[in-house]
Amino acid sequence: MAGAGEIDPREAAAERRLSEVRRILAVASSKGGVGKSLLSAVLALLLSRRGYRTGLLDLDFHSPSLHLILGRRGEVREERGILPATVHGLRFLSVVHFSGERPLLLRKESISSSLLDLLSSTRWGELDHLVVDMPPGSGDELLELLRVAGRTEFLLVSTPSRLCRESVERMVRGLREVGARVVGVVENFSEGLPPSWEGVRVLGSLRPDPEVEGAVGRVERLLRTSFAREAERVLEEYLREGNGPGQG
Amino acid sequence: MHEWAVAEGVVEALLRRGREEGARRITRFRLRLGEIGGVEEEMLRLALRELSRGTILEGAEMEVERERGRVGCRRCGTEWSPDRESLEEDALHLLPDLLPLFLRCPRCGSVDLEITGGRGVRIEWLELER
Repeated sequence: MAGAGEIDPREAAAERRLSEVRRILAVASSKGGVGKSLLSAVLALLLSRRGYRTGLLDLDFHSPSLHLILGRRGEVREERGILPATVHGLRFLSVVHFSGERPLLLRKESISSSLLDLLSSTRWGELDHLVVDMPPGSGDELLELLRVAGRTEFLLVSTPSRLCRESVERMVRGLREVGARVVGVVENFSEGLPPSWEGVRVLGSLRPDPEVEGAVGRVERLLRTSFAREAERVLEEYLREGNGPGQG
Repeated sequence: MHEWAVAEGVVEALLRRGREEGARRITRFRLRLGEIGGVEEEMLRLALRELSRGTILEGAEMEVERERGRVGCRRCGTEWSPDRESLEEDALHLLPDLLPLFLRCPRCGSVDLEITGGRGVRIEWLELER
């Protein structure tokens, strides 16, 4: 008999499934309401428009919102695992594909385990980029993602508020301590002053854009906002960081 | 066809363990199949046979222990085995831990539930030749 203890086969499966994804970008923040979902959706849409094979994964189990930003959720299929929905050229997956409109009263154990189920069963296929919209904070979802995909790169979203900055700086230190790669910080609701962050690259600052709210659910309109134009510069920086073929 | 995804995980995990142990062959292994997650044993066997072809796992004997689903209520402490029908929801097939979205405690109506047994698939042990 070999090895002590039971083996959860999902971990090996998740690593294998994600091995077909070239870069994984987690958009995260220590705080909620800072624009992670909007930025995740816009970055994924921009990547797709540039011809990259792109996936978009909503890991915010308590408050998923990417389907609202995209204007539809599409259908997932079960075929030797989970085949993500195709929405606006993206391979898209969210807990709403399974929960429907039900309230999401879930404990962290249920979320960690569901996350592992999603990562182990989803057939993303070959992707250039998988953009992951993280829930606020540095809890189970983040640690679980790092456990099965340690190469995940983090883009942190902050605001000019000291309350937010301080906790995002703490998060950067925490991520580095566990060996995760932080590609940079984006300051949202920026007042236009060039933000300076100690020890972290600032990939961009996004000004408040009153057009964005009306563009939720309307992708073409969303991509014409100044938010999307500024996000495009963030994307350029992210792509410049990459060293794979076709990323210049 | 969820069984294929499960089988891929099982094969990958067994082959990894086999490699770590320097195995020439894996001869036998035992799986615990929980009722919550709805994996069909025959489908799983078929997928495992196919996926292990040409590997050190080919021809290994598979033992299966089936485990009844158990759910506990964190509010009133009731523990019960849900009937099959309530576990047939498609979403639970793929994400069994979303069970609190679909069930209620039969005693107090709470949705603060936890799976206390019979969830998903685990490899209990394996035997190999070095």
